[in-house]
Amino acid sequence: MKVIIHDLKDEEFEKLNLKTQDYIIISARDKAAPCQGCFGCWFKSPGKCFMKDKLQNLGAALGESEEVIVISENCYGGYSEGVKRIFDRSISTSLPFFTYRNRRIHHCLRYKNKLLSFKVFFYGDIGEFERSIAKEFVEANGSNNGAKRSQVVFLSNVQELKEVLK
Amino acid sequence: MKVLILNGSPKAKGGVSRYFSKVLKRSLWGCEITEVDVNSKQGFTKALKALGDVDSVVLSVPLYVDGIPSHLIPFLKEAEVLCKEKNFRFNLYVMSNGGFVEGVQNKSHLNMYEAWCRRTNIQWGGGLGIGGGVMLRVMSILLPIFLIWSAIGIYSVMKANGTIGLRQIFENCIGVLVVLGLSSGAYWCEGRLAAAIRRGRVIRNSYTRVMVPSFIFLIVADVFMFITALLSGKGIFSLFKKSPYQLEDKVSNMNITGGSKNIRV
Repeated sequence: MKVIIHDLKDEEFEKLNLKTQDYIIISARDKAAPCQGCFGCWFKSPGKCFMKDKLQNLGAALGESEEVIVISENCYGGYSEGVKRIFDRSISTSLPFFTYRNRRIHHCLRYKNKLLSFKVFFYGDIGEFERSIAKEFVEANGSNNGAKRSQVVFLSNVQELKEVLK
Repeated sequence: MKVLILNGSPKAKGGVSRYFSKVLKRSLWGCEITEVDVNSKQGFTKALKALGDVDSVVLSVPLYVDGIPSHLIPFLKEAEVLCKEKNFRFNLYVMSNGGFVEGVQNKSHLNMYEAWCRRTNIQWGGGLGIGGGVMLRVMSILLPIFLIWSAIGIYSVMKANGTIGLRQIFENCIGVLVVLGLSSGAYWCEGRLAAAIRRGRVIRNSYTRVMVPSFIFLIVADVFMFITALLSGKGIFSLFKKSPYQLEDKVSNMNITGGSKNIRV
């Protein structure tokens, strides 16, 4: 499975005309509840969120992917609200148990790890300090999901995606 | 000093972040403290109103997937606009706690609030990254239990012998000492942070943790997770359940015809 998570407007995303046949496209625009921090997706209903909306089962999609592409507006060096909500609601990709990964403690993964590439494209105004935060943040995020490679790209314009995402 | 404490936990009650702000409050003597939960619209409005009239703001917030919990991002954006518009002045201190044992895993999260400060022209007061937050919270629950246990132990020895030696006191207090020892880093760092807040000073970001080596943390935490699973009425093996990802019907049809699998979430 390959996944694109983006927070662009639908028209804007379609206009980019990316070759997305092989991808599951997840838009972060729609309203959905944020994570309640209850850890129900670990203990009460393992693998699933208790909130029955479209984010309920997304952990499985992220956990089973070989490639994850994130397109997000920069918010203080991190993801925008919608994109972050998707990640917060998808912690069922991991198990409650701990293990070492990249010499740090992380959670064991629920699904057989196939994630080869974790790419994040940030758009919107971003200075030096926020760039350095974003790099570190994406690295940590990738290693949380067991990614073999993580990459950050800063776009000065969303249109650039046409060239970088071929 | 007027201090506004913001609890960033999405939970209505309890939560590790609320525990850490409680610990901090005890060391903020002489300060006028207001506490607001920022996990709802009403909370946002209340917090935004309070921002105008304080010397320091302390945000106690959990680490969610290496970054800011998503429900706080719109609050930060609103606060950014308001603070710039009204030219508010205060120091922002942030305590971030994560489940992983290394406090330094909170680093980029803390830096995001510093980035907020730079955009907003607010003074970054300093951050504290706490590792093993849940374990520290469990320690705080164990502390009174061990205290009572020690008191009973000492009392029974004294009743039997009439006197008690230092060695016996020590033997009866081991539980309390272990719990205090494990929490000592967090207590110390929160004390330092509180001192900075009381004096309106800026301090460097610091990181602390539950005071155990990570391989011990790993074993203890995994056992704790098994117990939690049993307590929530689940068999251990059901925790490993994989939940297959299903595309919506409409989307699967598109898949057959070779179109793009576009789902709205």
